Amino acid sequence: MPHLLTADDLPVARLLRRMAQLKGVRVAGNLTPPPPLSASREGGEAGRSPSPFTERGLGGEVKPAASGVRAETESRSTQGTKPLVALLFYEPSTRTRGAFEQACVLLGYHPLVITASGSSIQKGESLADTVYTLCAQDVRALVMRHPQAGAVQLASRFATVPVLNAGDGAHEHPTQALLDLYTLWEHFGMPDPETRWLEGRKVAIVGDIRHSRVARSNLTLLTRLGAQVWLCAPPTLLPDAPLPNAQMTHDLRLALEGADGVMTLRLQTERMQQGLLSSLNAYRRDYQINAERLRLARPDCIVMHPGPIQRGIEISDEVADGTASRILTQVQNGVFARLACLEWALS
Amino acid sequence: MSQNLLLRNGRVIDPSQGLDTPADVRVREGCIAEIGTSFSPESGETVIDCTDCWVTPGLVDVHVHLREPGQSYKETLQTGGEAAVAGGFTTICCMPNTDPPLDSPTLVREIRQRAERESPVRVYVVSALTVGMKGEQLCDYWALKEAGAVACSDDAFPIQNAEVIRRAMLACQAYELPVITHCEDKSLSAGGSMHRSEVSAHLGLNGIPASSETVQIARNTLLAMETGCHLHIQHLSTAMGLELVRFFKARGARLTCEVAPHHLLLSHEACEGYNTDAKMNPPLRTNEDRLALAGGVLDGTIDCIATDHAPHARFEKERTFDEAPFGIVGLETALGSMLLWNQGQVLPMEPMCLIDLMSTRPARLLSLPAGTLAVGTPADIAVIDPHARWVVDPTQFRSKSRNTPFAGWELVGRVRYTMVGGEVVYRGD
Repeated sequence: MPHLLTADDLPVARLLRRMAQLKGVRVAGNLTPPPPLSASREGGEAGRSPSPFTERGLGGEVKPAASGVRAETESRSTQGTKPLVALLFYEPSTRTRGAFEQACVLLGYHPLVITASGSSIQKGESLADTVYTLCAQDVRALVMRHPQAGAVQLASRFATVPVLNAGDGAHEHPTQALLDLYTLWEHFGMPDPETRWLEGRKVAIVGDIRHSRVARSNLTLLTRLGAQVWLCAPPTLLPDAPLPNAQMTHDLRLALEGADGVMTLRLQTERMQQGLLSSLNAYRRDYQINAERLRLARPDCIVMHPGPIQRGIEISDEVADGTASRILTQVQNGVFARLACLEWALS
Repeated sequence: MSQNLLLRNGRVIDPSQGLDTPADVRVREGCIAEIGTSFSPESGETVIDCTDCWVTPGLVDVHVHLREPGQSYKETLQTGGEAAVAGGFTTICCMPNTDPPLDSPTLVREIRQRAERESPVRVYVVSALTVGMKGEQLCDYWALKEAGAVACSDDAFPIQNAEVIRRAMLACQAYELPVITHCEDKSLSAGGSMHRSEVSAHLGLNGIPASSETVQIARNTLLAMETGCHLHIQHLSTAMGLELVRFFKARGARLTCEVAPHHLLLSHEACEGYNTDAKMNPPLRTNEDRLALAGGVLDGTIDCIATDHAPHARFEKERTFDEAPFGIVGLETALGSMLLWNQGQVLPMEPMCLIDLMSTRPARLLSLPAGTLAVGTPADIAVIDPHARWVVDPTQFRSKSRNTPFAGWELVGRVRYTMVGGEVVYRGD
C-alpha cells in the first residue's frame, strides 16, 4: 500500500509519462469512469480497482473498454455506490482541493470532503480518531492537508488505506512538486524521464522559503533530476539551516542569473505582523519578479507560481500575464498530477 | 515494617565515605547498622545475597514530574514512586508545575503528607518561584520552606522578566532556598518544537535555538552572583551553556547544574520521522553538544544526573510534533542508560563517580538527607547488577506513561533491590 507522504515517495518518471498520457486522453475527451463499488466487489475483469486508463496510449490511442462494462458503469455511477476517497482538509485550499476532487470524480470515486470547520475536528476529535473513522467508512484513500508538519506521517500510522499528502505545514507538498516538474518537463520538450534531464539546468525558488512546503518538495525532485536549485529569500525568511543540495541566498540577482526556471512563492502578509519583514514595499523592491529582473535569467526562462498569486507583491502584472508565465498551465497540470498520483496510490 | 537485613558479598560503593570495597552491610531497625566483612547472619535477619552486585546509596533524582495534583492520568505519587524505586531511586524531588501549581504551603504540605502515605519513595517538594508560576509575583518563601519545600523553581515556565527573578533570588537567598531554573528565553524559542538545525529546517519545524538556553544561563547566573543566591541550572543541553557554567564556576558563582541521560545519549536526529518520544524541552541538540556535555560530566563541571521524568499519556504524544507536549519518562531507564553511556566512553568513569553523580552529589546540592550509607542513617539502598543487560519494553514500566525514546534499546545494569528505610520497596527479577 503506497503512501505519498513526501516527494521522495513519487515514482517520478512513471508519473510524468502517465500525466502526458492522461493529458492526451483528456484532450480527446475519452475519460471513462471506472466500475462502481458493487462491481469491484464482485471481482473479475470489471471489478479491478478503478484504473480505467492503463490500456491507453498517449493522445487518445485508446483501447475501448468492453461496452457492456461501460454501460453498467454508467448506469450505476450514482453517488451512493461509488467508492469513496476522503479529502481531509485542515487548512483552506482552492487549487489543490479542487484538483483532487476533480481527479476523484474522473477516476470514478466520490470525493468525501471533510474540512476542519463544521466537522468533528472542531469538537476536539483527534487526528487518529478522524483517520480511524474515515477508514471505517470504507474510504479507499485519504488525501490530507494539515497546517502542521508531519501530520500526514502521523495519519499514515493509523490509516489502513493509502495516504496522500496535499500539504503538511512547512514540510512537503509532493503533488505540487510533481505538477511543477511536469510543467518544466513540457517546457524542455519532454525528454526521456528516466534520465537526469535537468542536468545543467538552474531553477530559482524565490519567496518565503522558510515556511514553504512547496520549496522543500520541489527541491527534492529538482535536485534528484540534476538541477541546480537556488533558494532565495530575505534573510529572515530563509530556512534556519541549509536544506540539502540547495544554494541559499538573499541576493535575488545571484538566484536569477542564468536561470531556466523561476518559481515564485506567495508572501503571506502575516509575516509582516510577525516582524519578519520591514515592509511590503521593501519586499517588492528586493524580491518581486518583474520583467526587468527576469532579464537576468535565460531568455527562455519560465515563471511558475503555486498560487494564489498576489499581483504587485511577489510578481508583477506583466510577468504574471506574460509569455514566460506558466501559472495557468500549472493549474491545468495540477489535475493531471493528482489524477496520476491517486491512480498510482490506488493501484 | 522494616526488617533486619544482611546484604552479603556485595561491592559496597558509597561516595559519601569514599568507600568502594567488597563488604557486607547490616541493616537494623531501618538504619545502616554496620559495614564490614564476613558478617554471619543473626537470628531474625533476612539475608540478601549481593554477589556480583553493587550495594550503593539509593539514587537521588532532583528533577521529577509527578503530575499531582491535577494530572493523575499521566502519573501519580504512587505510580511515579513505583517507577522511581524500580529505577533504584530512593529520594526524588517533584516539580511544582502541577494543576494547580505548588505555590502555597498548604499544597506543599499536602503533597509531602500524601507522598509519605502513597509513594514508596521519599518525595521532596520543589515549590514554585512565583505565584501560579506566572513570573510576576513572589511566593511566600519562608512559609514554603516551613512547609518543607527544599528549593524553588518555575521549571517549565522560565521567568522572562529579569527583575522578577532577581528579586526572587534575593528573597530565596535570605531563606537559604536554592533557586532552580530551566533556562530558556521564550522570545527566542517561541513556536519551536525541536533543536534549531538542518534537521528542523528539513522537517519544516520551528526550531529552538541553542541561544535560548545560553542567554538565560548567562542572565540567571549573573543575577545569582549579584544576589548571592544558590542557583541550580536544570538539564543543560548545549556546549556553550556548559562553557558558561565553567566560566561562572571559575569565578566563584554558587552554581550547580544537572544533565539528563537523554542529552548524553541522543541527538536531534532522533526527531526524524516526527518522533514525539524524542520531543522534550530543552530539545535534543547536536552531536557536538552531546560530546561536550560528556566532557562536563567527566571533568566534574556537571554536578549531577537528573531525569526530568515527564510522563505524558499516549493520546497526548500521538499528536503532530508541534502539538505533542514536551517531555519523556526517565526514572526507569536512567541507571541503565547511564551505565550504557559510561561503557561507551573512551575512559569510563569509576562506578563510584557515577553513583556520586546519581546519588551523593544531587542529595548534597539540595541538602537532602540521602546519598549515603553512613552508619546510623536511614537504610536507603540500591542493589545493582551492573552487568545485566536488558531491553527496554515500555509496556513493563511502573510509570503510568510510556513516552520514552529508549524503547527497544539494550541497556546495561539492572536494579535488583531497592530499600527505603530498610524496607525492600522493589525487587527486580
